[in-house]
Amino acid sequence: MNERYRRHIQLDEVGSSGQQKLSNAKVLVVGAGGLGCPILQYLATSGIGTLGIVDFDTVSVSNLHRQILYTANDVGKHKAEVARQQLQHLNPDIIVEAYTTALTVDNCLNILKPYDIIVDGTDNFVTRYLINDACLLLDKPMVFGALYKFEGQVSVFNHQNGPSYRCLFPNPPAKNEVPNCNDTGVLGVLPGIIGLLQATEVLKIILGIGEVLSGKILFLNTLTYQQRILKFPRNEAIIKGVKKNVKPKAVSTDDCIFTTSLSLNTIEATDNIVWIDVRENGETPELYGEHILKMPLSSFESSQNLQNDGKRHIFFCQSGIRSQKATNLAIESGLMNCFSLKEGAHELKRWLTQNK
Amino acid sequence: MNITVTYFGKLIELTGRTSEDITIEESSVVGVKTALEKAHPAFKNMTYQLAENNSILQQEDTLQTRALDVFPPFSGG
Repeated sequence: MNERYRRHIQLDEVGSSGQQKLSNAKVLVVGAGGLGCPILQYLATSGIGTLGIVDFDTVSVSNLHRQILYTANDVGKHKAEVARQQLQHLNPDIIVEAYTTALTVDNCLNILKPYDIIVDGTDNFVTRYLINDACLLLDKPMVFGALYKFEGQVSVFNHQNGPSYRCLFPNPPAKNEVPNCNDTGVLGVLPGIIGLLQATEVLKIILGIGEVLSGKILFLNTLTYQQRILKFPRNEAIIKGVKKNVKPKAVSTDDCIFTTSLSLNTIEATDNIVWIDVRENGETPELYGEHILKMPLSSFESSQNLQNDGKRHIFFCQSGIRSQKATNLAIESGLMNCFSLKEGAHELKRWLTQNK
Repeated sequence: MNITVTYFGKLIELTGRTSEDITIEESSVVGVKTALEKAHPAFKNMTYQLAENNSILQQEDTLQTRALDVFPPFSGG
């Protein structure tokens, strides 16, 4: 072990005792996407003894420009599982646990509980607020990072009685205020930069060195290198309000998980997709195929024939309105990876022919 | 009184600029928000915070400087 970490141990600020602290540490990374990949790589090579990865999603071709743990051969596979294998190759001496499920109000406390530090690598407000509230209830630090195009934010919440995300933004933005993750571009290197700043905070917390970004949020614009470190206080009333609950409550907003609309031009033919036709029997054009299920909305039973199997469930109808209803019903019933097709059956028929 | 506001994230697109001078009638957070919403009505429906001197301002604060940062939450990952 010592040779692998020699250049760490040479640092007076780390030493053998610091490396032992890293080895004893248990860190959970929620989201194995743009932020999660570099965070996980460096935490693994740094010798964090136990790493957890939570991600329900599967690898898409459009992930590959920034999600550097994955290759073209991984498309369609579970991110958490592929990441686990890659990390185990990078460092066979550590323990890596993969959770191929979405973090929900029901499972979050159990998943987070065994870990010392929780890292937020998610791409939506629903999960960020969920992690924030769960960290408050379990009294664990949360290392936060978020992106917008060329800019990033980093902070550490709930660290040694420091403020939480809700002390900064008490509630998530309203519907339609912030674009959903799939609709916004991002420069490929940005999640690498911001993710490694988060990984740095994790190491600082474990080693007890430097000044942790607690009670401060870092802004970085990579186009100009304009940056800010802004201080903000703990809001006792808000924190008390969260802590009085037995388990976190889901916030409602309009981003990734709840918007769930996808356009055909963002879908790869190689994605692992189940198409669900929610039109009534007899509507035309009729579409058939081994990956097309018929579930008319009038008799829709959200869970019938559908499982959380890592496949992407895309609901469609004639114009994209009934499919939105069906998607919401499916999500409410606990089905993951659900999307509503923005276009209708005519456009899908053409797309399926073109992408045979 | 004129102050300079610097925008972050989506607010850059919303205003079409990275910073600008705006006129405020009251040297307070409320005064700045009123001026921002007058200049850019879309701010009424936005979640954002104001900061100066590297500190985030609370609703009841009065301004100490004439240079403010205005930033929204980011959600991308």
